Amino acid sequence: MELDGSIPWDNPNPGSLVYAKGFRNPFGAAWRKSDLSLYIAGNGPDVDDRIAKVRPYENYGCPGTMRHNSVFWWHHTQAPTALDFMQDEQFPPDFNDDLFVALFGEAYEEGMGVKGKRIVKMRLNADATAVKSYNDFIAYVGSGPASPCGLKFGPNGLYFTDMHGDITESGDRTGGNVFRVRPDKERIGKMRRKITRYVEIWSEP
Amino acid sequence: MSLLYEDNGEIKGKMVRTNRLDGLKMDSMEVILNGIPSTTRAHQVQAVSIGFDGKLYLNVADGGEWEKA
Repeated sequence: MELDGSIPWDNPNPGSLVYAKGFRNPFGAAWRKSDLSLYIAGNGPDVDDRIAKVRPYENYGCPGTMRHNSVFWWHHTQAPTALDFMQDEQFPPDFNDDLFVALFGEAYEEGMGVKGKRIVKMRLNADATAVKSYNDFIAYVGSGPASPCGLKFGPNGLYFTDMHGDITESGDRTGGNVFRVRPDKERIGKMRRKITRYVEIWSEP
Repeated sequence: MSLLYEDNGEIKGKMVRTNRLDGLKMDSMEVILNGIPSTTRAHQVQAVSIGFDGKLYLNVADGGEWEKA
């Protein structure tokens, strides 16, 4: 829609605000600079949570399937909420265009070793039809019910919120928190120097 | 931002434009879209984003009640 809520002239169906359909619980939305596209994180029923790239006119399968037109899905549901791409140099260049997704897990689950409660990092393939890599980036290791929910890149880092709050080592319960993840420039610098040193050694005749 | 409200016993969603001077309270509220069918189930949360085309995008579709999604 236009910023005032009116229907753009070039919407798929004239007179309708619907741009794409067939979603189920599409919590998160993130715009990717490298292909100028919108990506969503959707929650499925008892199986299949997903990431999808949103194209106009397209139907994403629901009700029925969460897999149609998806980039990636978790068959064992993880409750992905917010997502965002690293595209403004908050992290080193190796992370450029990586997708970060908050996996909430079950509502109010204490401790670790349960569903979700982590932020994962993915790299998409060239035409955004699958992922090339998938890694845990942050995982909760406390005893509290905290789960990541909101997530967005901002000034100098990746920001995320937890919901339900934490239990501190002294047993106190906190409210929800806002966290910022920043690269440790000193450590990265040391690693870079080390890599450079290896390159020097190996390049010696 | 998107909000939930109750209208004659029916749960609906709305999208509003607001601004804040201190970041802690809304200093204004202008309704952009009203009367979006919604539920009190867990997934009525609706992401709002602005695209590179300058248009406004709103995620909707609670999977709990398909006739509303």
